[in-house]
Amino acid sequence: MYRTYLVVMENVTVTNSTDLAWCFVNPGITLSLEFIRAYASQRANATSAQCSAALGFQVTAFPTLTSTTPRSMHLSDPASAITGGTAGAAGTSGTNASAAGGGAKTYRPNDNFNALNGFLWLPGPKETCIANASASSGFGLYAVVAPATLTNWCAGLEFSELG
Amino acid sequence: MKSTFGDENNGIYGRVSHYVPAYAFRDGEQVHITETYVTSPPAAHIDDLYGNTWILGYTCGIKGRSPKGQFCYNVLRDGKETGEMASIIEINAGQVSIYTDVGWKRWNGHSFIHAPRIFMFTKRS
Repeated sequence: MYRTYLVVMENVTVTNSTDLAWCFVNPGITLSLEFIRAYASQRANATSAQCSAALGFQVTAFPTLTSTTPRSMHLSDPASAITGGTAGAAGTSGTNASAAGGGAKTYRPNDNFNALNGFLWLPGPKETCIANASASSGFGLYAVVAPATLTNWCAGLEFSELG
Repeated sequence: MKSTFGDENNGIYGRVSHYVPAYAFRDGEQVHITETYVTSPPAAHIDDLYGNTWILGYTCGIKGRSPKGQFCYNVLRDGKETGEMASIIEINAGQVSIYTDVGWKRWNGHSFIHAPRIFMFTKRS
């Protein structure tokens, strides 16, 4: 049975900079991770504003993050093998980056959205992104350009642990 | 390596999740409605004329009940279950519809009914 987990930030103020990871997960050395959902939304105001979102891989140096432990998405599931961390290191996850990190990023979906509607990435069965164990790269949800309003942002990245 | 979605008997299909994200609810009195024509995904949520917030939840529907070639998740209205599984939520000229394994269903104010969508045509000048 596959177990799914969510790395999430809720109602936080994001940093005003480019290419910042809002959610970032780096697989460990034993488990590969399959990313199956990402979202971002805000509740600070009711004014239309174009925002950017991208999903992709980043190699070292990784972003500087707020440590965030993945939440189990199903009752009775054990804790994730991924633990919270601030450096984006292997086997850790975090949110709301304060520094982008110098590592090259490879964006897959790179999209724009209205802040009023939020952004939801729900890949089809053959469109998911897999981060292989020991790949030395992490997967994240990025704001390519900082939004005009920085307050009250939510974002999440859901993944399942593969064998 | 098997994908999360690749194995009908051992995947995430049918696994119930009670997680409801923060964006499923309005923070106080609603201050805006979604534009004339929007679908989720790619929108995270849809806010209708009556103050309801619609989102796709985190319970993945069983494979045989999904629209072909797609996935489906539970449909939440203000964070509460509607009893429907769908791959798309759409608002078109104020009408909320969902795409299910039996086609489009329309919200009638109380429940979803199997009915064709209302299309809004605009006259070209």
